[in-house]
Amino acid sequence: MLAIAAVLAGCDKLEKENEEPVSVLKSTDYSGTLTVNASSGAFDTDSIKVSFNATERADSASIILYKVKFSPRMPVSLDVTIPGIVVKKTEKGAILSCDSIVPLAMGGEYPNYTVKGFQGEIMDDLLTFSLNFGSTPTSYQGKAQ
Amino acid sequence: MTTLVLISVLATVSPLCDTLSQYLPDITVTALKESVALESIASAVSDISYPTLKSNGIYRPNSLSSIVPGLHIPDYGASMTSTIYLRGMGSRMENPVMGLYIDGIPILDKNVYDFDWEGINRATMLRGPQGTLYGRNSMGGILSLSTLSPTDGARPVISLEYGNANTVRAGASFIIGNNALTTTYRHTDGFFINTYKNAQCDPYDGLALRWKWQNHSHENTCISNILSVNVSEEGGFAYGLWQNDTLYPVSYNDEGSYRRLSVIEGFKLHYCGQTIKTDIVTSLQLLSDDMRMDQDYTDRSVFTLQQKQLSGAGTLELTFRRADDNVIWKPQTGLFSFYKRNSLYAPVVFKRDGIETLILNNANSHIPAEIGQLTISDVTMPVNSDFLIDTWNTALFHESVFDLGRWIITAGLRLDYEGGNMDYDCMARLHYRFEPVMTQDKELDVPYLGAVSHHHLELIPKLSALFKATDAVTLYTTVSKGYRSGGFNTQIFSDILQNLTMNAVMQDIGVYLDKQFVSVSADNTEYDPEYAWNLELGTRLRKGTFSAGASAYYMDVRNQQLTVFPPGMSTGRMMTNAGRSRSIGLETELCWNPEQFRSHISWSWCDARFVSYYDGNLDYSGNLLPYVPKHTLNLGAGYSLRINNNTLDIDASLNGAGPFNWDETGSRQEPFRLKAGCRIAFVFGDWEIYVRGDNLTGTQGRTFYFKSVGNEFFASCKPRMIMIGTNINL
Repeated sequence: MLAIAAVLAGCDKLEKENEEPVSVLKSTDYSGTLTVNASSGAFDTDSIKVSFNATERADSASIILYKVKFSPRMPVSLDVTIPGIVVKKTEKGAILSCDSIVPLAMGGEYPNYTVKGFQGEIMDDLLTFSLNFGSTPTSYQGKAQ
Repeated sequence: MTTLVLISVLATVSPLCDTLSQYLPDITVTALKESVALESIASAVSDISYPTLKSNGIYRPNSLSSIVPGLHIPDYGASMTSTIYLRGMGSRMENPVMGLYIDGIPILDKNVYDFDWEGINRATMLRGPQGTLYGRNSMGGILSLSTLSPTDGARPVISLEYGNANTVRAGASFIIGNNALTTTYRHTDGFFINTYKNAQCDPYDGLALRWKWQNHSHENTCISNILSVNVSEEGGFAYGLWQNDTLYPVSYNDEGSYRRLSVIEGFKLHYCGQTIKTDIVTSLQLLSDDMRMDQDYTDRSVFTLQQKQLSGAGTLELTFRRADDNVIWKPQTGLFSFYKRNSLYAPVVFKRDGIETLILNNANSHIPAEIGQLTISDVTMPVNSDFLIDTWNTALFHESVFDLGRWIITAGLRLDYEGGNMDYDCMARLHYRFEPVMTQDKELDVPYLGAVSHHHLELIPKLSALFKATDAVTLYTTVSKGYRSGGFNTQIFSDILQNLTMNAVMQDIGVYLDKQFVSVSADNTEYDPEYAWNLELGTRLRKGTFSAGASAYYMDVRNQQLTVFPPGMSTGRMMTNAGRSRSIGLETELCWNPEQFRSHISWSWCDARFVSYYDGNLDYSGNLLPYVPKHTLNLGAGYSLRINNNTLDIDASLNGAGPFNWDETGSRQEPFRLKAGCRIAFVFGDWEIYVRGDNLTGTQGRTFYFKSVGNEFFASCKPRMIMIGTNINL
């Protein structure tokens, strides 16, 4: 029993030592520019709010994009959540990645906009990422608010 | 007959307290506040005594229509409706344009205007703005009812009447010592069949009790207490669909009913000092009622409305006058105040058809089909609204009458403050799904809470001059102002909640429409008072058994309270100060009562037009105001034939109103229609047996028009009615 307790205590200590002290890996809101390369052409939307929500262990996160349009003629804006993003911490932030994630929008999973090729990073107070929403290449660059 | 009207509250409670009255052989007692006799008031006056009320079968306020020139109170809906039009003013919602006083007590709530008139001795109506003495909601005039008093010395009367639709009216009046007791009961099976339910939709049962106690045992003091209780339960809302120029029978599937308990307790004190007469009139008014309505009036389950309210109010008025009436300067100064609290529960319940057609069709028309479509699984979707509405008013008024012999000059001013506050606590609850993305329903509550308030200060002046050209002829002119109180649009809250709910659903799923569901906010639901300036010229003639009165008026109505379409996709309308109008009119009354013959003619002409009115969609400037009849006419004649010691009374009348437009565009019109009435009574000893008929011509006119959810509806006149009855003087 003492041995097991010692092992568990050791694991706990190890986890605490590995915890990322950088606060940006916790829930942070960013504001920046979303660029959508739609079939009709690329267009930028400024002041797009994005929330980065890391898990307790800070090894994965979800990103919520607020009020985004994927076409300038789109008559609605959507909140889109990309769950299950893998987070690898670095000295100044984190590397973000995931592939083939079904985002959440309009109250449920939205497979028409399955996220592919998500790549991004958090560097100091900047968040950048690029991805394909379905077949629509999209990128974002924002600054922590 | 020498008629003098004592125009003081004192006169109502005790003619003995008024020194002038002691020297007059015949006194007509009213409950008006004016400092001069009725015939010296510089306003158009209709004064209807008990015999006329009886011979015309007037036992409800709407029976006064056309008998009082220009007065139009259509009979439809339920007894809470009491829509009153006078001199081009009026509306079917919110505050009335006519003030009602019963024995000098102001009745604050329009929902209790309509009650059975057993024991009403006299109905006196002053037409035109009476704001200086009477304050709020008297811009069209005031109706003052005098009830049976212990000092009347009348014998106990029992009355019973029966007519078609199993209509029964039974009443009794007794005077015991200082107490006058009156009770009446009315029942009818109803006159219109709801074909969906295969049952009458407008049955009525009502019981009214009034107890008046008076004591003037002290030389200078008169006190009285008046308690009236009205309880009724009825159906109503006999509205038929108008489609393809055809009026279909009433057919709706949800409940249409109205229940009411009204208690009014009034206390009056009059003190005659050596130099000053003091009157104190105070009252407590309780109203508990519950109205349920099928809002779409069809056999589909679209939506229903309930309005359940419990209100309590207290009024207090102090009036000071000079004790000596035989003076040139007759000042009157008073202070009036009331406080009213109304707790209103007003849920709108959308049923399945309503959820589909009113909510989802509207919502999904905004949502691109490629994004998805909203569904709501609820069988019913309640939009609950609770309101707590406080209203308070304080006024200081003064009127000076200068009696200069042949000239009587009157000048008055009222400073009137009114405040109001409405707390609203509303919530919509639904289970929605946004397909195809969502696979399960989600519950969503949409609360909406807050408070709005308003404060208004009014100056209500009056200036009039009356000239007694001869003993028989009087001329007068008046400039006066009146106002109708502002208020809060409670009915629009269900529309606000509909739009808020749709926006909340969209926000809940993170979808933001470029074109959002737009609605007014609660802050915009308050509307201001409406004002009317009146310029009037008139004359009165009294010669022997002949009397006549005529008046011509010009009224300028500003800040007019009108219903408009609010912005957005709302299905409702709301009251707002959207317009300005003017009314030009003539009113005439002739009366000739020689010996056993009696005759009466009332006629009015009114041209009431919008000076400006934009309802949010169309501009109606220059158009006639809807619901306002161009003419009202009442012709009445009667003869009493003596047969030994018995009497045969025969009275006949023609009563009509119109033409008028049903809406602001004038696309729907009602022609002038006449209805005939008759009463034949045989009086022997203490018994009277009579046969009475209303609408003997079987006129199939309409009394009300409105639109609901794109459909048009009419309420029809009640059919021909024949009643037999008896009055027994015990």
